[in-house]
Amino acid sequence: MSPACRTAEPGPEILHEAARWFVLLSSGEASEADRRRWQAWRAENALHEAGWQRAQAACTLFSGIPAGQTRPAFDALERRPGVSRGRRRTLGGIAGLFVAAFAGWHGWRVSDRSADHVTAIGEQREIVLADGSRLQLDTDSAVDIAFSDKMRLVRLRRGRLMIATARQSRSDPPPFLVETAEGRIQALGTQFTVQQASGSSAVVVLESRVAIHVENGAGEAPILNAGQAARFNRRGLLERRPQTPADAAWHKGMLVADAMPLGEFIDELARYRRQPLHCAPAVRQLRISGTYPLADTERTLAALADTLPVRVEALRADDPSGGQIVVARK
Amino acid sequence: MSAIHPVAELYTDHHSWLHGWLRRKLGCTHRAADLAHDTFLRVLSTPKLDEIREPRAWLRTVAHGVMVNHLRRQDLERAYCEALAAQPESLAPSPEARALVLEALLQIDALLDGLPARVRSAFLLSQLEGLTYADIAGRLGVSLSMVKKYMLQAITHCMQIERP
Repeated sequence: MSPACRTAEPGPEILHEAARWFVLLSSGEASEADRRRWQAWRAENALHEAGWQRAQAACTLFSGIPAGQTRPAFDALERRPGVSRGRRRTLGGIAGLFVAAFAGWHGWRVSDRSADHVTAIGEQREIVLADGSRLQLDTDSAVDIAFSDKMRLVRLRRGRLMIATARQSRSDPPPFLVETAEGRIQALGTQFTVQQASGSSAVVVLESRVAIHVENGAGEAPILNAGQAARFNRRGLLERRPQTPADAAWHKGMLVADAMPLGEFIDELARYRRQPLHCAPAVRQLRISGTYPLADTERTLAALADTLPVRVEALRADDPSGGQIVVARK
Repeated sequence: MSAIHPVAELYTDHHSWLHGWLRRKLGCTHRAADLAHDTFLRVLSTPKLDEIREPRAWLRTVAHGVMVNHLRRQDLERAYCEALAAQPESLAPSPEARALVLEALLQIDALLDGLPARVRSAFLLSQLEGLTYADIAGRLGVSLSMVKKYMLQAITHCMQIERP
């Protein structure tokens, strides 16, 4: 069996067992023998370990409270028990009205002729795969599809995609994998996005879980749960963090910025434009927040000058190619 | 490919209306803009948007939830500030550290949402303050086995295990 096929999801019974171990180990009265039994249980089966990881992941939030802050944190949480779900982020909002319609362009790259599916700059497209799963391609992306009895493989050559796997009728469907230059991401559930950046791959899990099999990785493949994002290179994970609204907004045609450095914002916009877009170093660190439709980058650029101390200008306005646009300090 | 994304369409058709509605509720145009933005963040995570028949009525419901959360956030923020004020000044965290703690508190608060007060207290005393179950039992005035039951209920809730 290939390493990609080893990982599966722990069922509710294993999760309950993991929860009982958690309760024992948190009690402050677990013995050395208890710990040895717990280690043995984890080592016994990859599903056990996955279940344990789930229990630990449920408590990672507490590590966000530094040691000296636990008392006021406890007091604050206890003063108002039973409050409702929902996270709010502090955001400076910038609002504007944008016309949103995606023009399908046909600027296919010559080098991508051999790829099975390619999107032009500014184009997004949804493809239904042979097993009923949905693949959404972001701007300027290329994929190959290779489905067989052994595996359902999507090779991401460039850009970004989102996969929503379809429920399969057969009880043991072949694993669903997305391959990048840095490794393979195995779907253990339904919905996730993958981006091929230069030298690394980024994954965001929207539903269920994925396993990341890095190219030169040894040992157990790390599991990423719903709501988590990670970046990895050929050797292993570089970063693991909670998902933010910005991570998956693109597949709904929006760009979400939450105090994002202007430089990153402009780089992201540039991925959706054929005309070059440049941000002057002096303003790259300015912060921008807001929700913007990706389809009309012109309007977004125009709105920048209203909210930030910047000017947006075309460098060679008479150039028939459209010229380069720069964002610079006012 | 789809010609227009449902979220982008909603945004185009209703964003300025929503901003106006929130401004009338809150009496502050900046806060209204923030909350309109947050409303659209929620809209982004809503499946089956195209099935919504009455977009404005629906947006109003979403925005109302966002507004309620906003007020709850303010509550929690105030409670945290008060708790900090009760501490010796030498322990006061930097503004950055405070913001990070507050963000973590909001997420913990959301994670524990729906748990009974005692279960919540027991779990917080264990995971936040690092108390042993015997200490927690003393603090809450319940038996040791009850603390274990609370802990199991809390971790099961946080792990989102389906009831068998």
